[in-house]
Amino acid sequence: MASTMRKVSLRNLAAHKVRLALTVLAVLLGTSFVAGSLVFTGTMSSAFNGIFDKVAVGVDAQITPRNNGSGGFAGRSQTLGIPDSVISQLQQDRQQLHIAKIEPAYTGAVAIAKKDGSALQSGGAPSVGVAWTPPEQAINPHAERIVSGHAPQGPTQVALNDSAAKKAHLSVGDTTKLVVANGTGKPMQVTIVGISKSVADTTGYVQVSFQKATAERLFSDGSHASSVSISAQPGTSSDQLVAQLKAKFPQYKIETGAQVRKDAKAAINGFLQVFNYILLAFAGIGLVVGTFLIYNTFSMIVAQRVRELALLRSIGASKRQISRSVLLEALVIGLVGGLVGLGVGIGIAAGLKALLSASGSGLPSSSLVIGPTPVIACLVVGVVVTTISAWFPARRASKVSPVEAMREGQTDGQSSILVRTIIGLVFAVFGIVLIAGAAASKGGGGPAGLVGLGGVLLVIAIVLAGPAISRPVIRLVGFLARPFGKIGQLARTNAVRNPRRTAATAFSLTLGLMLVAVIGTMGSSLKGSIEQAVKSDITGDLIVSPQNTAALPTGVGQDVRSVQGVGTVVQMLNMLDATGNGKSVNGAVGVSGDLASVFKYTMIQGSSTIHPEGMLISDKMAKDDGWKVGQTIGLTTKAGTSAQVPITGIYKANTFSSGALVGISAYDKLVPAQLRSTNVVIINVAQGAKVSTVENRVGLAMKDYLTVRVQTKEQFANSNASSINQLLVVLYGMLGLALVIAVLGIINTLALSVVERRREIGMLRAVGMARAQVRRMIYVESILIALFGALLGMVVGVVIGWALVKTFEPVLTGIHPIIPWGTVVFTLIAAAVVGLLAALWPGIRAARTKPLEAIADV
Amino acid sequence: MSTPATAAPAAAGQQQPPAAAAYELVKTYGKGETTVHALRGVSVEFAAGEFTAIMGPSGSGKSTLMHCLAGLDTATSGAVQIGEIVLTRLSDKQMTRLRRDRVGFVFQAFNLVPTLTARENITLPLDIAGRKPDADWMQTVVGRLGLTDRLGHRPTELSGGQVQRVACARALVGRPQIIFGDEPTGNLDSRSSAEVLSILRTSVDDFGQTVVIVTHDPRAASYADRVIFLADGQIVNDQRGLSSDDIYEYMKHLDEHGPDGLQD
Repeated sequence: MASTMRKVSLRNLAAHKVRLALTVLAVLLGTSFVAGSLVFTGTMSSAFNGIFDKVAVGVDAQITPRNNGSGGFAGRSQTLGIPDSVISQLQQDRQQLHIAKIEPAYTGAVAIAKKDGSALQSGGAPSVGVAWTPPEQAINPHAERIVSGHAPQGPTQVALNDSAAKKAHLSVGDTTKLVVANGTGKPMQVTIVGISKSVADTTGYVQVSFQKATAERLFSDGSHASSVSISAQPGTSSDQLVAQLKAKFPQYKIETGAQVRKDAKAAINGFLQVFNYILLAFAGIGLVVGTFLIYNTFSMIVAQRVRELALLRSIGASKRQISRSVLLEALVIGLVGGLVGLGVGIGIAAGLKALLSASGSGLPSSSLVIGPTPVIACLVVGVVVTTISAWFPARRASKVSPVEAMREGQTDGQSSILVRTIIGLVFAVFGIVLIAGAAASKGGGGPAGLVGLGGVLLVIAIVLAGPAISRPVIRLVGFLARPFGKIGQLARTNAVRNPRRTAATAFSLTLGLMLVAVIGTMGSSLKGSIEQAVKSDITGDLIVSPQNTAALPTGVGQDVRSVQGVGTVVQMLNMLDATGNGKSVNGAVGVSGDLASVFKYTMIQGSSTIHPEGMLISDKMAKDDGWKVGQTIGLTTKAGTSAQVPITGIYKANTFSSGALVGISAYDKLVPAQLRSTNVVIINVAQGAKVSTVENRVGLAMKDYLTVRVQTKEQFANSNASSINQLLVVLYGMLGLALVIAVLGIINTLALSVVERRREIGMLRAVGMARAQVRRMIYVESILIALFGALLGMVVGVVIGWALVKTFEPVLTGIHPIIPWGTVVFTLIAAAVVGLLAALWPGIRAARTKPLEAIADV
Repeated sequence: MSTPATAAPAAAGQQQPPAAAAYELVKTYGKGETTVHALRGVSVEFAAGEFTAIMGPSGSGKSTLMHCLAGLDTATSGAVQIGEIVLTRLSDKQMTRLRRDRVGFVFQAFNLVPTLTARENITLPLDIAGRKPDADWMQTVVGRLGLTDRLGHRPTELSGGQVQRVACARALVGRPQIIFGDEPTGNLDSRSSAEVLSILRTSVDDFGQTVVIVTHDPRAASYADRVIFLADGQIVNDQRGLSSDDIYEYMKHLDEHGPDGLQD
């Protein structure tokens, strides 16, 4: 019997190829994202590891400043570096410390213009200037070499790395513009004299090599190096050298080459983890939704096979054999889905890599690495998810009694949904209480977590109470079916005919679109709040700001002031992290000019004018730190500079600022010239000047700074939310995935419903329903199911998003919830379209039903 | 009351045309050696306002004949006419419209849409057509059929006999040219059968409705004015005014001797 049962299972799979394909597709959607994310991150981390294995080769010790932010990759330098005194000390103690070579590095962020004059974008990769070390002087002579031209010699000669030169269309002999991002400098003209190649090249990476003296002048104050690498004489180990150096220079961070490599790898892996989380989130959605799809499919398969199963039971198959036969089908589907998912996942990883490489995001180019982890994860997830999803239907199948074989009509979904509805409502109440409580609280990370927990409870509530909710909600959206008359009514009643099935089908949309609504609400709140604040708080006419996250040198301010037609200019400068009276002073900015003339802020105490030697603090700081007007604070930066700064006023914290506003003289004392950079410049045009004319003139004056934007207040408001737009890309990805899965789920459900209702449809055809009307009936039914799912997801998602924003409100001043009506409406329309698309094929199948099928038992 | 099938203006002449007719109807299934001849050249006319029963043993072709007459199936050759309309050249769309507007159906099972109430089921063909039911006529039909207090119920809340009565009401309320019943009492006990058959009988007598049913039950056939016997795809007998005993005897005879042994 066992082999017969197996034969029955396998024949069943083969007999329903479309159903098989749809179910496999459901498994595949989840598993492919699991495989894709694991393969992608595996490939990337192995590629980066390969690159970082070549970093600091031969270096036995590296001296870097402490507290310098996140080493090298992005992050603004907080200190000047390692003073020359340390280097000369090292030179002196060379023999005593068994030092072979000392290699100081001088490096800093730069922007370079392409041949056409526009800035060369490095994407996510660094764009840096360095001091050229001839191979014979370098610790690792193979790290870098000049492949054409020669090494830079004069103050305006540079070598550019090969991949950047290609991207910028620059070759040896070309002259171009270059800007050092930090410091007080202005754009300079440089000549490419050489093309270099480095072992640590990644796509997008830009490296401009200067003569050492030039680099020292550009990237330091002339008496500091960014870092110092040291190699030991033969016979002295790295650890010995590091130990000795640590004893000698306890104020610096000293690591072996291996540690440097390890740190670099850890930093990049942390960065890759973000990708991994996003992709795994997609995989999670795919799997959770896929589970419902598979569960639904197996439920229907069992319902349709009631007669067959009862026949098997009556001829002696045991309950266990029946459930095992269903589970065997699930196992096969899970395996196939897992395997195909692995293939598709590898494709996703390859596509993602190609996409990111093409956009120059700083990722290394290498071939895909497929380790055992994605393969095992994919197959295990596929099989486990499918088998679990099929477990309940399988148990139900085994309970089929032989008598049921003879009974007419449907047997699925007739049992009571009362108990699950009540449990679901309890979950819903708890979820809503949590969310409401968190939203009403003082905010912060804890309440945000509670909102998340409440969200999870609501999702469980939807799963449990979904069938019961489906009736009223579909009645609500059923007005859309009214224009279709009787056809619409039939569609509406069909949609609620089997509430469990409707709810399970719609769940894929509910979950996916719920996430869309959460992200959409958060995005629109942040974006909208910032936009509103820009429009209401900034009174200046023009805003000059750096592109992306790049910094601008302070020279921008002077150049703007000299433009004809410019009136008031206020320059905001980036401060270093500092401490004052033992408390950390974060989010401080230096202000040059009359801030009150371009920006609206409310004073609680004192004058709005920022004294050059003093500072204003926010009411928040006053409360948190207990500081008062008239008090003088001794501020000390991480670079070691300090100044006595009196508090001259307290302002009300707003969307843009809740830290100290430091006067320009105090700023200059606190921030060494090399570490200064411009945050933003706000301009009022002079009386009688036209804003657009001045805008053009400022734009022209700023052109050579390369990574600069000159915008009106409105443009600034719109573009300010670029990081939020990245969030929205993820949102549309999720929307797409949810819709694709939903299409599959709805196709599956409808196709099977059409088969089940064959006789009824035949009867309708017999009494005069035209084919087009049958099709329309299925379309409307599908759209109603889709809208039910979408509406539920939108409502819950918006509520969660709203509550999350509420928890941010006390932390992020000025941020308030804004419901993204546009996204909501667009999503509902998209859901309806998806419903229609999903119904096309089942609709055609239904319309093909012959009237005779009502009578004949075909 | 004359024929309610007012949609046939040709009926204005002295000689009433048949409500439905088949001419040299042939229906074969399959090809070559496995060919099954379901109908071998059947010609028959159904006069308006008459109740006809088609009888015959299993495989005699009685159901196929009805399906072809009702536009549910297409014949291999020959012609079918409902009123003045020749079905042979109709498209599926036209055929569907013909069924909707001119034909009423009562099936053995699966007559009603389970999600609709009895009233909604009755008006279903009219609703599909986008027509309003004639309220008086609806009330008359529903009253006659004893369904007045059952209209708000769903099919699952109705007995088998009530379901068939709702199906009859649905067929009658559109005043079709002809009503076809495919074993309309096949699933009913004798009392419910009698109810349904007398409804059909009354519709012929009182409303001038034309009714054709297929049945294997002599008692059901005895309600008809005319009984047509089919065997092996051909009409072997066509008589009026038979009692259920006559029919029973004839069917027994037909079963024992086959169509070839019959001599009228």
